[in-house]
Amino acid sequence: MASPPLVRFHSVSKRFGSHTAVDALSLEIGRGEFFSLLGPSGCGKTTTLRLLAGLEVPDAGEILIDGKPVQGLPPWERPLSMVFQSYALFPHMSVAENVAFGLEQRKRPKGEIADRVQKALVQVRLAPETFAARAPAQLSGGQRQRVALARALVVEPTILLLDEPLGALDLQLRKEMQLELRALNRELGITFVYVTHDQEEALTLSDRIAVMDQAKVAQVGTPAEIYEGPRTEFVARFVGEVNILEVKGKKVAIRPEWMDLFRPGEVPSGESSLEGTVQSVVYLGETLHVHVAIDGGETLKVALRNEGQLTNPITWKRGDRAAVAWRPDDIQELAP
Amino acid sequence: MNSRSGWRFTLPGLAWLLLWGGVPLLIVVAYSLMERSIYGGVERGFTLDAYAQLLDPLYLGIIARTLLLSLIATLGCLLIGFPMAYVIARSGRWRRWLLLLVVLPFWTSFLVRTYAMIFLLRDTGLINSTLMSLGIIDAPLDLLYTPGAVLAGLIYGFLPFAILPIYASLEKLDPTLLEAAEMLGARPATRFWRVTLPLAMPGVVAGGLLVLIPALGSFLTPDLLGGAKTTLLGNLIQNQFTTGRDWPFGAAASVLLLVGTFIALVWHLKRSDAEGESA
Amino acid sequence: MTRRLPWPLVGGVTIAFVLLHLPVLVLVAFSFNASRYSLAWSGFTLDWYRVLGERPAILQGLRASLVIGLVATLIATLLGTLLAIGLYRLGTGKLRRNLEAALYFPVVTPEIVAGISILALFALLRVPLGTTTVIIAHVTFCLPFVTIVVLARAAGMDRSLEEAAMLLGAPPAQVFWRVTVPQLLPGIVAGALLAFTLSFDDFMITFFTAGPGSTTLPLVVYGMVRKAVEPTINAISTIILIVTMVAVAGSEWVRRER
Repeated sequence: MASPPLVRFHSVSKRFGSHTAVDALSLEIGRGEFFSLLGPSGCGKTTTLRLLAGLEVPDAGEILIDGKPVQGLPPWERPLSMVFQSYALFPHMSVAENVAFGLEQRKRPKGEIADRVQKALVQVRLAPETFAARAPAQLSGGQRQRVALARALVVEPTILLLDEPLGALDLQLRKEMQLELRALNRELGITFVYVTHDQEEALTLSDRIAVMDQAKVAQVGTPAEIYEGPRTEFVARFVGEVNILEVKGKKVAIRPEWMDLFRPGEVPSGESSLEGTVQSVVYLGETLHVHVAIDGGETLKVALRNEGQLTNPITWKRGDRAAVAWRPDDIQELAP
Repeated sequence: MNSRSGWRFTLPGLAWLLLWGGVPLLIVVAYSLMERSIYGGVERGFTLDAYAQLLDPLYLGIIARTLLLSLIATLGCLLIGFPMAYVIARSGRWRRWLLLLVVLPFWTSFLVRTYAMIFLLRDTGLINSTLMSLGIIDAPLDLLYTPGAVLAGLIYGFLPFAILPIYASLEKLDPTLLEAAEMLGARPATRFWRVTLPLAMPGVVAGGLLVLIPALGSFLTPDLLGGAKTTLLGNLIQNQFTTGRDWPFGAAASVLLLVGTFIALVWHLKRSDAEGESA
Repeated sequence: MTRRLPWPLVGGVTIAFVLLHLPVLVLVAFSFNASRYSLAWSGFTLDWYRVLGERPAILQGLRASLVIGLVATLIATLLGTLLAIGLYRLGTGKLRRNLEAALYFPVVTPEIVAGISILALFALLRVPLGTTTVIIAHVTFCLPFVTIVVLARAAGMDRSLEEAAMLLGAPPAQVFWRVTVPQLLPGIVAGALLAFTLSFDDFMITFFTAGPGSTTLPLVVYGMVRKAVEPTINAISTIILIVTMVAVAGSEWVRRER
């Protein structure tokens, strides 16, 4: 990180009754970053976001924004804004009134508010003439999401918090919105803190990802670091497909695409291999997954690039003997 | 499910309601336009005398007093009932018990509850006895048989009717809306005035009507708590059908009450329909 | 986030709750007070309850209330349940919605108007006032409540059970008696108990439709209250309260059981 981190968590803990939602969590988020909190349900990612927002108060630890401790401060005294999972648009207010709400709380003059609301709607690609007077109930899911975004951006926050904002959208719309969010992050220079359970989404959008598991951070890194260099079995399994093997008493992870298939005995020198029998071949479009039952144990998944099954086919089929091979450098050692 | 055979089931019940509920109302309307009979009851002959009688200042005064007291009672119930509904909606574990406490008087005999008020307010009642034994007053206060007693009785009697619809509205309120408002900089007071209250409005209006309508037609409360000084529309009507023996007049006053009720209901239905469309 | 409610608010609301129940609690408490005239507590006694048994008017009132209550409840429950099932079978069209809305009219009509209007009808038909007229009037205002309760139960009913029965070959009558009615039963019983409560407690409508032999308990109490305040009124009021609460509690319990 070039400049000092914008957000810092120092050993923050939060309990709800007997359940520990966040356990001595520490992390740093840089200025302008698109930072994702990734993990399964219940891992603590949303609680972490809410602690940063000021909607929850930590039981222990410090949260610093721009070097200043904020854990006692209410949300409106922090330089941030939030987009909720359910959008939380005020049903009794129009789109324009919703977007204007934050500016009204900041006592901005009417003219300025009207102007900024217009600009915000345009920014999220909702034509003001059409949408400003509409009620949230008259909008589609995607449109409501944009209004929620406009409402959060119009107050020009330093940090934008997003709690699984794209979950309710269909695939096509989701992918569109992902690109738009990324573009906004780059254009506006606002730090995005993004909560999601969708690992593909996290890899697509983020500058860095914190993978969380059971109230703790399992690993923080760039998408490449997380995907190609998982440090624990949990991270290896949660992000992408993976084969877990025991090599020399240690657990290692090998991504299916780092493996290759050869006829037994044809494995190039320098590569490690295990022999087994092909169980199934699954056609996935871009790749083919070949499941090979290794002699003496597990089933490994090998991903082979599809060069065109109709013209240049891969001919592995069930029952073939094969050797699954990989370069020794490509394995990832996992923490015990 | 079969809608052809099913609807026949409605016939007995509807027929009963029409005969014993609908027809009587038509009779009342008819009677209000007929002549008064010296034997009590009505005589043939179309006349608007009964309605003309309503315009007598004495009776206009009663109508005005009824309207005024009912509106004040409604306001009182809403002002007291809203905080109660609010606390219940936010009470978590105790919600069921608190609701039970609100609903309990709801189903208790109105007569018994009105009598309980008498017991409390009379010269030798609990309030006066306590104040006298504490030395705060020397002689008992005239609490009973005043407009104040009637007002207290109306509020006490109808408060649960106000609380329940308001509670229902507040319960449906999405808490993330308040969090979103908080994130955007709204302080607690602002959150209440700009988010909670507007969204609870349907419940407030429903609660208000559930108090206003019965209050306008109340008889027992002014009869037992108000005495001769506080005659309301309900007492007036009752009187015409008992000692007064002026059925057309009583019918006319009833029609007035019915029209008021009807207007309030239709207004409410139109209003909630309009809201339903935009939701 | 569970925000604490400001304590003045909670305090004020608590006081409101207490005041809401205070009058009745006082009434009940003093039904056991040995002193007849003063409010000073002079000992616990059941005398005022015992005395009730010696007053023929009160015993007759109780009998009338129970008889009228039971008969009116039976009829109102029968008609109300049929009406509810009919409405439910009408689906969700305009007719259904309008009928349901019309159902609320008897509920909100001021009782005094309901009372005098039915009195007028009885007068027109030259029907002498008596137990029958009271029962008819009670059925009329209890019926909508039964319908509302049963309809609510029907709305929560699992339609697929009826459909499954039909697919298994059961004719409509069988489906009705062996699938629909058992499912509705908690609602029907709850509605019946509610109807009984309303009938037992009613004053206004009974006032106008009762004849000399059909003075119900509330009418007796009214007469007593107008004459003089005495502890026996407290006693009989307490009894009315208990009957009502047992019925309502039963109604709620049945509603929740399934």
